[in-house]
Amino acid sequence: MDPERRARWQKLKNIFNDTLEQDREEWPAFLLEQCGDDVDLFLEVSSLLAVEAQIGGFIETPAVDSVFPVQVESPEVKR
Amino acid sequence: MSEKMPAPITDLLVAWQNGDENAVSELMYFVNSDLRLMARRYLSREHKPDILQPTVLVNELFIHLMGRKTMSWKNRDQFFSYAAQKMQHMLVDHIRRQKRFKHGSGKTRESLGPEHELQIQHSASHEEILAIHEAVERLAELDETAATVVRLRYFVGMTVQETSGALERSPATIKRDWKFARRWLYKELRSTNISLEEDGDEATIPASTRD
Repeated sequence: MDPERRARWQKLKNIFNDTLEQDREEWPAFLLEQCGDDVDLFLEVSSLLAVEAQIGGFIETPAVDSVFPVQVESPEVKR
Repeated sequence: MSEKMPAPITDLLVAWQNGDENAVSELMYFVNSDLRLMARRYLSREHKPDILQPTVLVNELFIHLMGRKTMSWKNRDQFFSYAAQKMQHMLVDHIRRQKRFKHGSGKTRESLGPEHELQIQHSASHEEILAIHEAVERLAELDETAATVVRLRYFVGMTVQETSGALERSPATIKRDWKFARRWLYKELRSTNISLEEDGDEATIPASTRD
């Protein structure tokens, strides 16, 4: 990835995570402030935040536990 | 080391290559447990952080996978990144073999009775894992670090703390990568029309509190 694209990706990640740390009602104002006049960035972060209500436990259960469900881990390695 | 000793790694690999899919289950269970154990050791104060000490089992597996007796790793995160990719591919290969076997058996959903319902649901989950695997590969092209966090957490089964030990990064930065990657992957799968089991909604615990 070229440096410019890398910097933009990092900015996207930072704004996304910083927004998540705000109270939900603050998200729109915070996002507008962070993205400034970069509409594409605003839309991109918004689309990631938009999955919040549906994401549930997506990939929270390790794949190996879904494929081999009989395995039981010892208590000290519990997630 | 793991509490229970597995069969010799060579036997497991040979058995798997000969079509014994139970061997991969055993292999992955012990290797993942050992990788997690290794990561936890880095979190303990007694451990010298600059020394990479793969367990005997992990070391033996890597010798087989890499086809040579000596291995050098530049650093710990390179080792765990490689390990996570190998475990991801091992699981994906297993799922693909299972799919081929099912196609080859000529059985269809319609021809199976209700007693096979669980297996059918399981197959759907396999489809989802394959789609996640492909999306993780796309993520790796954009963000290798975030992809490694997903591989360690989703394909090896590490906790945030263990991932932090494996990659020498703070739990807070691991959490940030994980939160971002989960949502990016979810959106990616949605855009490729993969049906996702929506096991959460507004009424359940908010995802952010589980991260």
